Amino acid sequence: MNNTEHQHEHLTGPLDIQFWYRRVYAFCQSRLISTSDAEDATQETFSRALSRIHELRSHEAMGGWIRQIARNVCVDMIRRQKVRATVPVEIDEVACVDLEEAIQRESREQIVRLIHALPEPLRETILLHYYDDMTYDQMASWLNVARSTVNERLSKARRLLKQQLMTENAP
Amino acid sequence: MIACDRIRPLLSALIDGELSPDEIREARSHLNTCEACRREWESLQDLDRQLMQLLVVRNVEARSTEIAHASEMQTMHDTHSWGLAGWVSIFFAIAAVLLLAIVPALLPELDVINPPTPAATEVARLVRSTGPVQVLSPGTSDWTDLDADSSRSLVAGSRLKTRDDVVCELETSSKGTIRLNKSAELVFRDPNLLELVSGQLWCLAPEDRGIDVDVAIQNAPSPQIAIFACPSASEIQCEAGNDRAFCNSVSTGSEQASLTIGEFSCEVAPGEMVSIDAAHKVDRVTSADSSTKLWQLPLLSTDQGDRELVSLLNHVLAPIGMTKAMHMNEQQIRKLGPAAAIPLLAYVAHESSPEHLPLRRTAMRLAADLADENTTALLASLQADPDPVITDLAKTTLARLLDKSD
Repeated sequence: MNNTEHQHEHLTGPLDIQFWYRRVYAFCQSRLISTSDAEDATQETFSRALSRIHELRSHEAMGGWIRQIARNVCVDMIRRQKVRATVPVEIDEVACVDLEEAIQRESREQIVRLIHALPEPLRETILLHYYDDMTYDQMASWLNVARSTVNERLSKARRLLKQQLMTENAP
Repeated sequence: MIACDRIRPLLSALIDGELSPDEIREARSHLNTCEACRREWESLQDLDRQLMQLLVVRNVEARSTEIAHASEMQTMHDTHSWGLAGWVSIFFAIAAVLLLAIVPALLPELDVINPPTPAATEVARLVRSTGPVQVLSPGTSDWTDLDADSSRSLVAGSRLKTRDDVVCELETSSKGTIRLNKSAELVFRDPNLLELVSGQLWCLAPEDRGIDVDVAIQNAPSPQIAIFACPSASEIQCEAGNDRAFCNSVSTGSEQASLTIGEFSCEVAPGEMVSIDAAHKVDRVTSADSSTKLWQLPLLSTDQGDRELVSLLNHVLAPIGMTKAMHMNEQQIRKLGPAAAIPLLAYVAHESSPEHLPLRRTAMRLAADLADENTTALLASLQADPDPVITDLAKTTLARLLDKSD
């Protein structure tokens, strides 16, 4: 996503799904793990938001409002299906088209598995950072935490991933 | 080495272009001279490249259009396929809206999703405590005391700490109840997501939604957080112990709670105590035992005739003196010290049913041993109790306290 999209953040108007999609998806995936569950939950979040958009009093509150809807959707899904009980390793990417891609697939699966093993706040922050090209301040506002917390979480998540990769791949 | 310690934590933000110009200069010049940090920097960049390639959401535009389209179709369907039934339902909808506008106070819980207000959303409020509670508000670096005189409101991101002699109770903005034991630390992410950093908490989720408690496992080789999900209208008690995270689904009346850690997840049955360590080894004990809630006793006395106090003590006092094992309940109450005297006396004063007389006497005997000068008013009123054993104990205890103060 390019930066001009972020400038629309506080413009009034109807719900810009494309603008919010990536962060809602990161939120849902960090909780539900499975790619297809996360997609379903993201879709359901926007359906609920669209049908209730008239309830939103101020446009500035939209982030927190959408996040709350997403949280409710995820809780509902977890309750209904116990989706978190089984965790297949899934990768959100196009099919392998060339040989290099095929060779890298294994190491990618490993990284995805390690990301899913991170504590939930770290997992969401790292997914959000790579899914949606936001600044630390924008992430802090969406996650409702301090900017320094965003920095700490990213730094810690990267350090953990690096350590784990090195440990697991040690000869 | 000191320079390395300063630079290392900056590297992640350096990659993301989130450092100040001064910090960038400092980091760059250090990387030019330090081989070890440069290797660290390169491996971080390497990881960043891999993650950038891997973590991509595709077809956002198509998916967004699809959702918007589906929603439009739904609206069109709702507005065009009317007929008589449609008009009738519109009439009732308008009537309902008017009714709602007239009697909003009668239907406060109609909507599950309450849009939070934008700035500094209140997530919880301190209801009562046995002393000052320390708070670190987001964006500040100083702990402040939250007591009766200051604002008792907590915003999202607030960190809360109790001293070694203070327990407290909070009400979340979604009407959940949280109690924090002494020497504990807690972060409010939002009204339904708490992070227990250390110590012990008890929570009672509201009727309409659950509460998640993240408990850090201490001394783990890598940071791990166990997530305990407390279902709506249920209670759990969590503890961040040494090397383990504990969850006690205290009451058999609760719904099944659940535990998730990384990819692992399991159930916590009503009345069961489950703990997990960093290796995801689970330990289960069946213990539907109210005595694990005894630490909350000092909180319960502040309201006159607290029903919860009466029922807790009825459960806990009953076995005292019956068997040796149940000596534990008495010991636990004694451990609370003078703080337990007021709730015990409040119980003696308010539990009126005759079949509980032996329990009132037990409570009175314990209170007589533990009482300090803060209890004189309660003791004075109990001198007029119909039971002679209780009046005697009240009189002798008062005499003891007055002797001491002379």
